[in-house]
Amino acid sequence: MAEFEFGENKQSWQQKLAQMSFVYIFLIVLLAVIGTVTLYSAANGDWNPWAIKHLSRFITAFGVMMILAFVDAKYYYRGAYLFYFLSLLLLIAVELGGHIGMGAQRWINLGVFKIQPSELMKIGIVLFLARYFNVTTTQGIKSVRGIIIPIIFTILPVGLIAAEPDLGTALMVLCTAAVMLFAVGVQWWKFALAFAAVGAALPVAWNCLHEYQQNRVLTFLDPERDPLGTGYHIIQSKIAFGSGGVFGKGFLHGTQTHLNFLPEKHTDFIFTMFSEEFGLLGSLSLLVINILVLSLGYAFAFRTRNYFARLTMLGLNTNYFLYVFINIAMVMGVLPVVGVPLPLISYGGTVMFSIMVSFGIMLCMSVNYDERSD
Amino acid sequence: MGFNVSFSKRKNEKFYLPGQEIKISRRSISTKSYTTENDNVSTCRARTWFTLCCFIAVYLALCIRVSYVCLGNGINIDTAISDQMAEDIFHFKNPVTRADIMDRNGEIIATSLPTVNLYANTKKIREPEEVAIKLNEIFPNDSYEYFLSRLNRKGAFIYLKRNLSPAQQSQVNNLGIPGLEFENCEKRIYPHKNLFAHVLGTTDVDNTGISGVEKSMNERLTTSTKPLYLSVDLGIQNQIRDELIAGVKQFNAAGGAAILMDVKNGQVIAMTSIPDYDPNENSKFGEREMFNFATKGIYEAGSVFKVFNTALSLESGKVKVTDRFDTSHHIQVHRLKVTDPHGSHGQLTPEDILVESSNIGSTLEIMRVGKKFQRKFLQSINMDKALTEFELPELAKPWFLSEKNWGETSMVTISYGYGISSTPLHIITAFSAIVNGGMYHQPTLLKNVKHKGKRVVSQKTSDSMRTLLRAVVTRGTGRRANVDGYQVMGKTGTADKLENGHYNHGKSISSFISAFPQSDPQYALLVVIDDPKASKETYGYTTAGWNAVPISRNIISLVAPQLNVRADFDLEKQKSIVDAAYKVKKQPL
Repeated sequence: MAEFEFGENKQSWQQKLAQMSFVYIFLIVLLAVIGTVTLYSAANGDWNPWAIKHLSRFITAFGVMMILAFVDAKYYYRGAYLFYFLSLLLLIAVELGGHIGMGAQRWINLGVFKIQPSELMKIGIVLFLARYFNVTTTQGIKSVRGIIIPIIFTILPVGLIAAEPDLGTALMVLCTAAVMLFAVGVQWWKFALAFAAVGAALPVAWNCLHEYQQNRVLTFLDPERDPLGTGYHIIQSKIAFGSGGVFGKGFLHGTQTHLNFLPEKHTDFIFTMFSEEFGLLGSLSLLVINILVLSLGYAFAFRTRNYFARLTMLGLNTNYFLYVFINIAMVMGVLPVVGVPLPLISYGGTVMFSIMVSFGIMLCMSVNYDERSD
Repeated sequence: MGFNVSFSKRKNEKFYLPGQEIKISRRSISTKSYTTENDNVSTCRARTWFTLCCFIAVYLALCIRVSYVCLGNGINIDTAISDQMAEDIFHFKNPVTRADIMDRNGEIIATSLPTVNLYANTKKIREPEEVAIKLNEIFPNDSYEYFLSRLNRKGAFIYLKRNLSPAQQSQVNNLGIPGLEFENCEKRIYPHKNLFAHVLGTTDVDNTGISGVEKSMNERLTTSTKPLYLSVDLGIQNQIRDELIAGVKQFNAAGGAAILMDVKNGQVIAMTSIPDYDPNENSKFGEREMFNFATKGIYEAGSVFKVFNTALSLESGKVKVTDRFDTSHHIQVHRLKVTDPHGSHGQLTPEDILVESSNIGSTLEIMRVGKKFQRKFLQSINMDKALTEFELPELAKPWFLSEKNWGETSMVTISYGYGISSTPLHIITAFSAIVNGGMYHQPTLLKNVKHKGKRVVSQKTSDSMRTLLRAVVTRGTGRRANVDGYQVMGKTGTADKLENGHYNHGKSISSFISAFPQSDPQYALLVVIDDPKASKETYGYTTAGWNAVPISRNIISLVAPQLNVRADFDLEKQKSIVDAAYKVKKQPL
């Protein structure tokens, strides 16, 4: 099959900048500011150790995002496969002998900083699928042969990530890929078949899970099963939510979080912390901001006439959505505790950079909406 | 069906140019309602809309859920956490009742673990033979006959086995035999085994202290669960015990004891008595192992006592450091003939008397002072009574003559350490007072107890005594304890052992009392060796200078740096000293 590339984008950087959605950038900054403020409170009103680092990371990542936004979109297209296979290679490397952190092999130490290949893969899979489906035909997609390659190249990293073991990330990659497959037109019945297959394999998979993973699922089903052990997080989280009420306890005044009843309050459970201090109104505002970010992302996707760009943006949007959804659902006891942070708000460099890179790519694609790939 | 369709279409695929595919008339049923065209771009558009709607719906659902949880409906604390659980969460119950014992740095040296005892309600047991076989499999150390005999007794509470491990408990549980029941209890654990045997003592099966601190502080340990801090130091104790054991072994001695005391407040930093025992294994050791020589062993200190004789002579004002005593002739006191073992020395100052350890000199000194002052002074340093304020039950009352029996002869023999017996603890406590400026502090094992001192000698006497004692180490019998930089001072003593009322000249107790540094004494060390044998290394001597002194040297050079005692030596010499400290273990004692 012939491959189609982006045409030459002849806009100057000023023209590009003028086309960028400042509302979108503003919302991203707003989220990061909320994150910094919450982390400031999490350290009992201290810039150290989290807030200041969070802010400086964001500023750096913001620079990275803006640079990526001005890169010509065709480079993403050209580099898509390369990026994917590089991520895959790193995943294999980490599996073979990565630095052991937190009981799971997830990191590669580059000396200056550590990278999590699974985070790279979240973007890599999106670029890979977008480029792959950019040149396939409807018939191709609807045939089994047409989707066998993307499925193989989805299952491969998902399997590697799950083996790390990092079930949460593996499921996120899988879901992102599934949404993209769905969007390009894979028939409904194939999804139904896949679901049925997964359902049938579930008992087998259950036995393959680590005991702590089994505990998380069991705890999710019944948090009161073990209130001092695995259920402790979720019970404390819910108590903190209730403690905040409608208007919240006020900035720096959350009792459950400041008295350390709530574990992991600066990472996975930061939404709970935010909610206790700013109440229901604060939490709903945060959700509304996230709905706006998602909707704007989709608006870019609808606006572009480039198929590759649309698929990429759809994938990255899905990825962001999954982060927010899984994190919030998790802290409210709707999903098992799988250790997914809230992007831009939770403390943690990897997710911050990974999500800012995807925002950068989205901004870039949103500027190049006139460029057709076919 | 769908599979066949796609298969047939695939054959035609190569005829289409990409992006220009012929529209397929058969659409997938599910996409029908969303697509108006059937090229992949419009399919994508429709399906992207669909995902957006789904995502926003999920967000809205989350909003509802957040509202629900925020308004306090997410969790019903009453049902989620029962009263018992709340009790567990908010008032975590201490499963053990006996408080931990810590050393001065907060290291646990005695603790309790919750465990269970296995007992049988034999009324419920149907086949004792079978049960005994199964129990014997789990506890192979106890015989089948033992279990059978216990199980054949009649009663609702027959002990079978104490202190089961969790694994054993689960194994017994898994037998599922009615009538085998568990009783919660706790087991006292001494993680450092023999190290603090005589200090800590041990408890009986009912967890009541039966010796050592466990006994004397039993009430404190059972009424409060806060840890009890002792003044002892784990690391120092370990090194002193190691050195003492090595010494006892090398000189083939019957035993030994060592005490390290903070001279400023009477706190015992380390105290050990060899042989000792492992308090974890109670009631398996003999009387000798259980005997705490350091606090209960009464012995005649011999020449060490000359320290007190000199101190009291100087304190009385009747003897001055510049006085000279003619020791060239033996002295006859009634039926007692006082001689010096190494012949006469001529004119000796009090310093020389200590350095040469002259019996004649000591006699001449005390004859100037008189027995009344001598007896009063020895009483003031508690040589006449048991140190009952010390936190151990194993204490002994010294052998102290009554006033009526305290005649001229006794006065003379006591001046050089015979005719009076006391414990190592008495000696080191009194010695601390002589060197620390004259204040007598009751000895203690507790970190936070500081007894107020009482003055027994003047500052001036104490200062003089330090100079004299330093001379013993620089040019006297204590030479081998002259650890560079720490200005060690001390006095040796070797006394024949009193056995059944007779002196056994073949057996002796040698001891070395020391303190360091001279300029500002901080720690006193007493090493007592019971019945050391002569060896080639000691050139046939059994006197303290050949055994107790080198052991003390090893101990001081190891522990003084750890105790933050400021070493005082030239920087040029420092390297050789550091090297020497590393080599000290390899040197023959």
